[in-house]
Amino acid sequence: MFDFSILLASVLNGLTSGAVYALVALGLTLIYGVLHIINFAHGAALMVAMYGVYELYNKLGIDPYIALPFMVVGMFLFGYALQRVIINRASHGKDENILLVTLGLAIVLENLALLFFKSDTRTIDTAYSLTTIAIGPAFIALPKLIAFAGALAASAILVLLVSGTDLGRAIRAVSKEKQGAKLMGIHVEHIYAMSFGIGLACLGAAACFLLPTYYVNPQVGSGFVLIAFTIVVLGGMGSFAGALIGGLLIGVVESLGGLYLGESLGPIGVFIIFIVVLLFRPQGLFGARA
Amino acid sequence: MKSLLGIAALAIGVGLLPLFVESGVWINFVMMTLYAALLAQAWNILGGFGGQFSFGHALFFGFGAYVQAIAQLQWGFNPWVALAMAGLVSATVGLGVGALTFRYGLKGSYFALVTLAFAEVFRIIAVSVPFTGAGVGLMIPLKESVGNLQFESRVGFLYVILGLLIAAMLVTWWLQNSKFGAYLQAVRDNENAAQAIGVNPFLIKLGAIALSAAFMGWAGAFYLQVFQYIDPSIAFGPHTSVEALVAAIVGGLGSLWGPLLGALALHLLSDLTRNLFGSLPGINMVIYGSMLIVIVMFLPRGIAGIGQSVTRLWRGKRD
Amino acid sequence: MIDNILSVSGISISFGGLKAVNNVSLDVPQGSLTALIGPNGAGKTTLFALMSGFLKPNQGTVTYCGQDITGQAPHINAVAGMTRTFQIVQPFAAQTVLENIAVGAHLHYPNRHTALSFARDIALQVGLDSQITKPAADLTVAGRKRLELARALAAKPKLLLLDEVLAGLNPQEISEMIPVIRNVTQQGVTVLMIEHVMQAVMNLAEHIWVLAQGELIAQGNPSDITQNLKVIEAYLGTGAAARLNEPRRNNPSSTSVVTNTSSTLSNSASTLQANPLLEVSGLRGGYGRTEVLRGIDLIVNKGETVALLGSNGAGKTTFNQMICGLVPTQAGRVKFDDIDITGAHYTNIVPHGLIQVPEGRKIFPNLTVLENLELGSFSRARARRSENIEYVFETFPRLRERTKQLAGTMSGGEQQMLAIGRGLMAEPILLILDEPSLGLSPRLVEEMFGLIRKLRETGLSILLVEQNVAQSLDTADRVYVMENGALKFSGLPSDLMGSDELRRAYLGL
Repeated sequence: MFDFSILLASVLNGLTSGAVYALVALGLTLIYGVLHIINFAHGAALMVAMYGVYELYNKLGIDPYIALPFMVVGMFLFGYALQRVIINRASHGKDENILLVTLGLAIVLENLALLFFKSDTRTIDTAYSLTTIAIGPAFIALPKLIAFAGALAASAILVLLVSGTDLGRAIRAVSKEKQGAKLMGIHVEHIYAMSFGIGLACLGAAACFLLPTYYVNPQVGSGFVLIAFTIVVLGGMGSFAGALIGGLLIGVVESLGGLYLGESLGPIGVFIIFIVVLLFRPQGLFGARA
Repeated sequence: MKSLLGIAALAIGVGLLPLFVESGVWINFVMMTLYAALLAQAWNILGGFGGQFSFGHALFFGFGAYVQAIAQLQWGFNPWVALAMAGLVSATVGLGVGALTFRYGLKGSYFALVTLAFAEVFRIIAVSVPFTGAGVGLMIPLKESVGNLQFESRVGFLYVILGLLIAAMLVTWWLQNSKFGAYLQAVRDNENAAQAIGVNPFLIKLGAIALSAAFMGWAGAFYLQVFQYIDPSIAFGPHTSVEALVAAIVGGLGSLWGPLLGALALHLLSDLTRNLFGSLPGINMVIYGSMLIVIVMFLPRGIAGIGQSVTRLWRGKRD
Repeated sequence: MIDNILSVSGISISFGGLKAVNNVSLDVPQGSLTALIGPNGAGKTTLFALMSGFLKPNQGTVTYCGQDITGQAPHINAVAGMTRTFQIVQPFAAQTVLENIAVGAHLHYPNRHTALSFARDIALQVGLDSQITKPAADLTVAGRKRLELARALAAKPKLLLLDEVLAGLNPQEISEMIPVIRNVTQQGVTVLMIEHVMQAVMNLAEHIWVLAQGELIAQGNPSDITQNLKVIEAYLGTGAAARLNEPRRNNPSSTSVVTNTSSTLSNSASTLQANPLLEVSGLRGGYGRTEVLRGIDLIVNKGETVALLGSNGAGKTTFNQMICGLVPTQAGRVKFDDIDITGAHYTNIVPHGLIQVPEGRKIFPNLTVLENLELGSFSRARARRSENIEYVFETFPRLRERTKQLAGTMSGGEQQMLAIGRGLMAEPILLILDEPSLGLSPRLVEEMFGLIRKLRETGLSILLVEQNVAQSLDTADRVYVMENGALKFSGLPSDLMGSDELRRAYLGL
């Protein structure tokens, strides 16, 4: 039905968005895998990060890619503090409570943004925002390619961290065997907070990759939340490989969905996948049976 | 006994209110508070008594509102008949969602996510399909008469919402004093132990979600009648889902008066904020979100829980 | 008239590669009070789950009142008259005692008032009538056990499966519960109980089945069972039977109850200097409202191997967890290497060299063997990690072959080796081994104890917590016996073997 170049462009665009989705989902996977909580505030935190990148560019003229290290560190500290000070204390150890607290955080963050930034949609215009690169018959925006490469690089760094360092081993140990970890002298609450912080740090990076081609408004987070959840569930709760592949897959599904079903109906493909996976294969493509 | 008297007192108290209060602003405040209490009461049936937290309860609200609108606009039904249909359709949707999710043993966070996804799916459908007026939504024409479920002053609507809320509270009372309610709470507290003494968790949860959905549907239909307008984001969007669950939790899960207390607290707080800070966009939701965190942190049994603790201390001192 | 109300025939179930229940057949006569006993991990609760419908067997059938009910849902079985209680109590915490019992009552009384009234009668029957308005969460352990029982009784069962309804109760509470249970049978209800409290079992049961490692190894009346060699070996370990039947020495110290640890020490023929490494005095505490430990005095000297024995549920693991900071201490003192570590945070225990290899191994299943070992030196001896890994591989050559294997896929024996290796990575000064022989085949058990003896020869101080008595007594310098949270014996292994304390603690004689 569609011209090959349009199809190719759609798939390629889907892959580039998918890579960024994957990075967002990786953070969520880490948080779910270790703390076993569904972080409803993930989307709102991404939105906060995006506003951060926006303000850094607008007020201080710092290019998003230069801002990357600051955003990563900043979001890490934000996440660590959130977990240690609010989420940990509010939950009293009960799962339903954590659900509610992260939901509350999401609501508060989203509406504080509304308060301070109003509901206007904002974008930034960098020097290279409009540059395109030709791949075969299709044209892809340069920032999207950078986003693709950057997101994959960040994911690789995250995976290396988790698999190759003592901290990473401790995080993985805590996720499956808390008591055993304590007997090694591993401070479990600290590990929880570290994981949450790293999860949010991923968002800091993702925000830097998103802003040159995307927009920010207070509601942008909720759009990402369900997509991120779908990826995490599709990939298999707690599987990094799953989140990566799932992210790319969902990115393409969303892109093609928009192409074939139109602007408004497009996103439905993602949610249908979500419901179907949750109902019929809750362990996802790569996860182990719970 | 005591609770039933309390419900009767509420009915009489609010019923007599218009005789003493002239101000339309106050009547409106009470009406909107009762409306929020209905949302919370509906959520409470599944969330508080059933222990299943739905984050997309607007799904049932939206169905109720759209059925109410479409029944009148497309099929020429009388609004009161449409009201009955709205509840029925919502309950059926509830049964459908329940059958799918509970059959596959979805619980906790997974259940919350799925309900959210369902709400989003239908929001997208409603935006895209002309049957529901697409993004523009649907509007019912103005025609004030009792037979048409529209009233010149808010007082008429006040009585309608009062009726719906009293019905919901009576159902809640029944949950606290019946075999079904005892079984539902047992499933909430410990599904395995409940099974060991003869409770069928699947059927019980289905019953709860149907009841909960029906009342949400009626709330949606009510909303349409009052504001004469519905669109996809009001119908299926997060605002209604959040309002229902926050009010229920703040007020106290699984209690009879919790939803009303929670709705009252939240509305008073928003009014106060509006008076102090003016009508800032989003300030309402910031309050709701903060209240949610604060209550979960410090008062996990909500406002009603304070009352329970006080009564226990009181009884303890007397023994 | 049905003779056997419940029969299981050739029933088996496996989880992963492990056969939890293997070809078990038994018949429960109607109206009887019978018991199912066996050491930790024997598969007793799994068997209950199979009987009541919480699990579906891979093979075999369950017949109830003449009908095949294999795999039928638990609530349907409950309606037919089979209810059960749970090993770990499952109250409806948010509700009152009366409301809890009423849920059971509703099975036969749909009307709320009638159900509540019947619930009141049941509460009276089990002795909870004074607490019916209390929230279930506020009950003591004994109260919760009664509530478990009451709730199941309110459903008017024909067959009642009781899972360790006496566990965690003190002797007084146990003697109060026994008539309650007997009363249930007198009303015509068939009762099958899983129990560890031996004197209760011997007192109440008409017939006993003994399960070990998933298999039925013996059955008969109480006196037959206590003499049965296979049963004794299942509980006390290979070779125990022979030793128990040795002529008993008339040694005054062997029948004494511990009052003063230090006097026992001075009587000991040990050639080791009394050089305390771990000193525990008056330790009390437990989980939440439960007091598990009722005042423990224990010493491990430098270079000693001390065994802490006791049946399942005696409090040994709680003791270990309390010393290591995993469970809060309510009273008492713990000194390690002259440092007061009472109530210290668990991150401050390992750096001092107090290392525990926990019950159930608790290795990290999603990490490789190498990664597990690396984490062993997370808080201590990190600098010498590579040398220590080499040392562990020398001690356990089989681990070297599996460096990159995920720990969760290894066999029980290999996991145990890994767990000990992981403990050694931290260069322990005192190594606590909690049930290292649990679930291992007899050959592996021999290997395990051989290893422990080797470690002992290197000068390592060891606190060995075990159910396997025979081997432990061969390996230890001194031994303590814990029962119901208190120490009932402290002294030399040779004294204990010939004593009555041992038989009593384990077999309720």
